[in-house]
Amino acid sequence: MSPRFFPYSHLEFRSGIPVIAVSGFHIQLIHASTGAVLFSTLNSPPYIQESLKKSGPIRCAVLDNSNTHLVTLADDKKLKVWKLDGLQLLHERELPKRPTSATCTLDGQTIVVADKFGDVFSYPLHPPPGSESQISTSAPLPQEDSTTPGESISVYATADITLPAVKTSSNKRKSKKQKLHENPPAPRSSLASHVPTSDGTLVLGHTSLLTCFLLTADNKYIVTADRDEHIRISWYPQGFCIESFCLGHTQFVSAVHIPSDRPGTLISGGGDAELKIWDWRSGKHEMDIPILDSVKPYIKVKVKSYTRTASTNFTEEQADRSREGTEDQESAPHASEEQAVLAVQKIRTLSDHILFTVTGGSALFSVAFLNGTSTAPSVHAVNFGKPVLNFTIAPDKRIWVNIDLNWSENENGDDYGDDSPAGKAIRVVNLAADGQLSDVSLTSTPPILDALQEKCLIEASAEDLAALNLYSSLQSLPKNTGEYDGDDDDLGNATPRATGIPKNIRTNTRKKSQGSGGGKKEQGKLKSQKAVAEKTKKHGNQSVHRDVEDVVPHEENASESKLLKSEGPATEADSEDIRMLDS
Amino acid sequence: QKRFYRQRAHANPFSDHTLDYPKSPQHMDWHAHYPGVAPGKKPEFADIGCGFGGLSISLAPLFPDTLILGRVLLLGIKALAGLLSGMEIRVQVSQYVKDRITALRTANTGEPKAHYQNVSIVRANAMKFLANYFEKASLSALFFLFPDPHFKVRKHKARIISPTLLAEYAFVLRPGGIVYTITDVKDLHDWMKTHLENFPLFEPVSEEELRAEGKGDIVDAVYTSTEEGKKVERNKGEKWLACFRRIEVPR
Repeated sequence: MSPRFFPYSHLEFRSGIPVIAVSGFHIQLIHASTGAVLFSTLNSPPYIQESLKKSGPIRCAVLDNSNTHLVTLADDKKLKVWKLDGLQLLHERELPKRPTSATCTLDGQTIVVADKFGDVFSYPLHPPPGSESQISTSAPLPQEDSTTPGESISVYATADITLPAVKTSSNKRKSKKQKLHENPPAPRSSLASHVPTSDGTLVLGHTSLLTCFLLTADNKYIVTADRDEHIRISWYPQGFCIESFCLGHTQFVSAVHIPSDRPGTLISGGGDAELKIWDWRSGKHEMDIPILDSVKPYIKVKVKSYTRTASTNFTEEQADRSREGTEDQESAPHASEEQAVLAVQKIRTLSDHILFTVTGGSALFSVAFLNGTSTAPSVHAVNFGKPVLNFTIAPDKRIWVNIDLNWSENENGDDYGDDSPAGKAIRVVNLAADGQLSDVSLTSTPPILDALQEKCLIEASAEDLAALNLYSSLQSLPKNTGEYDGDDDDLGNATPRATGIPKNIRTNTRKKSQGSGGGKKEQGKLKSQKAVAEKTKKHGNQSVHRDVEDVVPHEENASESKLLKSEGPATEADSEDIRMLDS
Repeated sequence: QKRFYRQRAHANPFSDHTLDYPKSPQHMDWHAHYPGVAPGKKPEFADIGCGFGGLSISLAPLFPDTLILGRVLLLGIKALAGLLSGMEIRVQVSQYVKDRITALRTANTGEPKAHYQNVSIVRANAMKFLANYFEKASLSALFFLFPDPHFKVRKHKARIISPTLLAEYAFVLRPGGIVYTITDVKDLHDWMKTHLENFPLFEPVSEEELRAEGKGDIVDAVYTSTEEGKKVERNKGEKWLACFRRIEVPR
């Protein structure tokens, strides 16, 4: 078996520093001209390597403006901060929820992190001295933070140490009230739901999974986008003050960008068929750039859509927790057609053009950024054959593209595809003045490119690669596939679409999913014979609501509901009963 | 079994229900909800979790030129709300309110004040989509009457008042606008009061101040006009009011 290698997940090119290459669990610093590997976590002490492996593949790597510190996030809840020079791991901290992305403030003293739950927290660059989360190079494996994140009692203790010890300038400006807001004191008999851990400060929160965010160049505003089509612009660091919303997406938003030469403009993309351009301060939607038709042919990674037949649902109710897979398919033979899902992955601008990629798409796209033209600009593409994982613009304006070198048409089987990985991990692209993109990887091959293509490749086992799960967002972000997303935070089941004008009445022909308890996908059902008979897709969740005529709208109903309400916790038991009665 | 035919009191606001919602406030057709009112007028009072509409309907004749909306979040039929906007996620309840409003409008055509043309209801998830309905600073009053206490700690994130949601309420409420909260659950009252007090864009306002400002009618309605409120009285429970004014803060 020929060895397989991790694809590169991130590359960073900046003048005056080595190239930062992240692949799998590891980080390498490579000399920008000679291609020599200067530092690599492969050479780090064993306990750091252990920690890296345990955390899972690195999903986010951010370098601060002064090129001093590197912040990484992986699949666990740890925030790691490295000193770039020497690739020294300074410390790691436990975050309250699984992070999705992070960024550093201009002064490099604060790290802003968004999480799956929908919250954004900010952390001082260095945790306060004396906290258990620090790692010194001579120490053995880092102590786990003793407080468990989430909703356990110990979080209350952390909440007492609410104010970050590091005096950032923003701290001084804050009013007492603001400080209290950012670190909500847990009311005595219960715990607040947005309690930070590890000296974090709550910046803001969405009631939805946060997909992407950015800080404006002057760090005065924070733009956050979620799965429920919202783009929100709030003050930073006073995230409690919303400046505006950019509303108009009808599908999840997965990428946002503010061009450096047009600081008042916001470009956004997600599941919609077009990119949207906004004047973000006012929230005004300025124009759409249609991309779906141009992009669709290049979407290589397809998503299975599950269809279920009526007879199968009860067993599936049990299996609903795991979407990703095979368990869902065990029951009844149902068609699992594959379809292409559009999810804009990353947006950047270069020389009056918008560059973007889509998750699972094998091309880099460019489209002219023209304001006020009547005809839709054409979308140029350069195809690489295999899905693009990321792209970076280097100081010389060349675009470096990371490819999923292991991907093959036959789907993550043990089929390697006959191409050797060398020569496929990275492509270099040139953007011409007219927007055309061309692959120049073969015409100019600087030593750094050779190094990345070959000697810097890190071997990966089959399990490692399977755990990469590079395209899960294609399943988890859209709302109409009948899939649940598997969070512990019951966000989002099957869903509605945002329409232009809300409809008056919806008839109950479909089953609706109605979660009720925390955490799990509860089946709070309303009893209905019809519902049982007309189950169609969706994970056997519940039952529809009875017809309107059956409503008994008066006091009695209210008191009945009140009764149910005060039984509160009994709802889970109720659901059990209902289910059994149904069968 | 009989009780399973009732509408459940809870609906998970984090789920994606099959609700339609406008993609932005500019796309919201308020006139469809308030046909008897000039198009272009928007709600000013919003009753979140309006239940059976008691508050909105009581307030309607007091503020005949103001649109009031009730929001319902029960699953099922969606009813749309009006200028006094009631927002409620529960289906059957929203349907009930819609019917009740229709009946009131028909019975009172021609009435100068109690015409009920200014009240309606929307079935919506206010926790997720409030900003889809209301523009910045467009409301002058927000009502959270007897909200679901979500007693369990792990359910606290579903409470309608939270540090993260308060930012949205402050966004839709204009400076000077008032948030009215009332509950018979002391813990919840403490929770809401603490969170609102700690939120930089709200400052507490006492009942006396509100009455002095001429909002006594509203306060009375908050205490007594909801089904829930009446029930609390029948059971000799206590009600705790907590009101806050939306303020501005410097950058």
